[in-house]
Amino acid sequence: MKKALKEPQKERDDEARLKAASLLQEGTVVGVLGTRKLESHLEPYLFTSPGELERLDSSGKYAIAIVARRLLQQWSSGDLAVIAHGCDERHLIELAKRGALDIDRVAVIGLACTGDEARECHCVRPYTHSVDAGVSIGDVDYLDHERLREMEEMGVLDRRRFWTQVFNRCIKCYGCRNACPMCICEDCRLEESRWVRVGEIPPEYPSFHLIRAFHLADKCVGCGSCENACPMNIPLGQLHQLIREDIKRLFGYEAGRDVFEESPLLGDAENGPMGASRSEL
Amino acid sequence: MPTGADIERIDEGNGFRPTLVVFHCRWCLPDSDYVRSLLPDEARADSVLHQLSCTARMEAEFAIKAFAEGYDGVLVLGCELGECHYRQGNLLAQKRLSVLQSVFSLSGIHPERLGFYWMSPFDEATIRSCMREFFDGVMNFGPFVWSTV
Repeated sequence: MKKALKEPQKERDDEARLKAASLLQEGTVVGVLGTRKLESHLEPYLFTSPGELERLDSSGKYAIAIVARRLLQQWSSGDLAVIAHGCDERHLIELAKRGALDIDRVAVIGLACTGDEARECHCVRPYTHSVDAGVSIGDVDYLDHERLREMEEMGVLDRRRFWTQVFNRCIKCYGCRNACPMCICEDCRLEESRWVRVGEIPPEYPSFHLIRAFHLADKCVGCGSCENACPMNIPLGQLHQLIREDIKRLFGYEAGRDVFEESPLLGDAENGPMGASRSEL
Repeated sequence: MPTGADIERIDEGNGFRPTLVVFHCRWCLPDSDYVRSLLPDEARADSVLHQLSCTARMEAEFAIKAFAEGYDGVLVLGCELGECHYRQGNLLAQKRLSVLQSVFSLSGIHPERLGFYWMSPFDEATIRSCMREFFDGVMNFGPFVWSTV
């Protein structure tokens, strides 16, 4: 059974390899950034020759945008191809929108995630804008994810009981922040003693987690890196996915969808907020 | 209005009086003492008031910290929409505060504990009634406590 589930990913890897090899042969990119298998785990790897692509493995979760951003910062010139899941592509778009990455230097090799992968990540958009490898399963309703539905149906006080319990496990390792490709502030509020008490675990309620949740509200693309990084199994991804859904409902805005789509929480001198044009204000 | 099981603690006759933190815009309501005088009688003594240069200065951290320190409600008062001194400040604040309400709701703080109203400084009756409405809402929810396990 397990083997049968792995098959679509094998095919997807082959398709990604073909696309990557052709980009490398054309010589339009310096390298292709992806993940490769190393004994029992995955590591990010910059493939620079078609021969290396044999070990390419796209099955694991790795927030590759962090590496892509760092590489482009280091390289003064040269383009990069990135083998990206839907969430990786959204990271790249959202980083570009916020001036942290030059999207014109990035070629995306788009992956479509399998139904199992989407389920594991509670993902609602498990595909890239243009899919080069794999078969897209299309949008998933967030309510089809059991954990999200349960939380949505809970009353406010039940939610508080739930989060009080899980946040109590926090050892304040900052893993959620460090693993997040969208945490790009140079000075982090979570390190300021004015907002978060220093040297105490668990962090005081509700400051630490809610400050982080609000800061990411319009940036989070729902990749679940925070949750994966958490050594205490705090289901942060669940909270962020639901905040994403609320922002969709409130403003019709989705982080990482379009590089020209401004966050509703930022001012815009040309067009006023709420879509009002300058003359109407 | 909260109903049934959603009420945190019923303090009838226990003399519970919500403590509020009120943030007010300096362009419509510059005087904290005046704002305090408009608050419901029961809230006047225990509330903390802060003047902001614009409600867009209101950061999520301000409200989060207020709850972390045990206040029961946070009220933000700004100019009428479209009348902002900085043209779009209150519109931005409105959007950010709506998102903060959503974060609160999902993490277990009744969003109604964060109130925001946009109004004319000349309409004292409306200001008073908004404050009363907010205060009564918080009163109904009871004291804000994290440990309800």
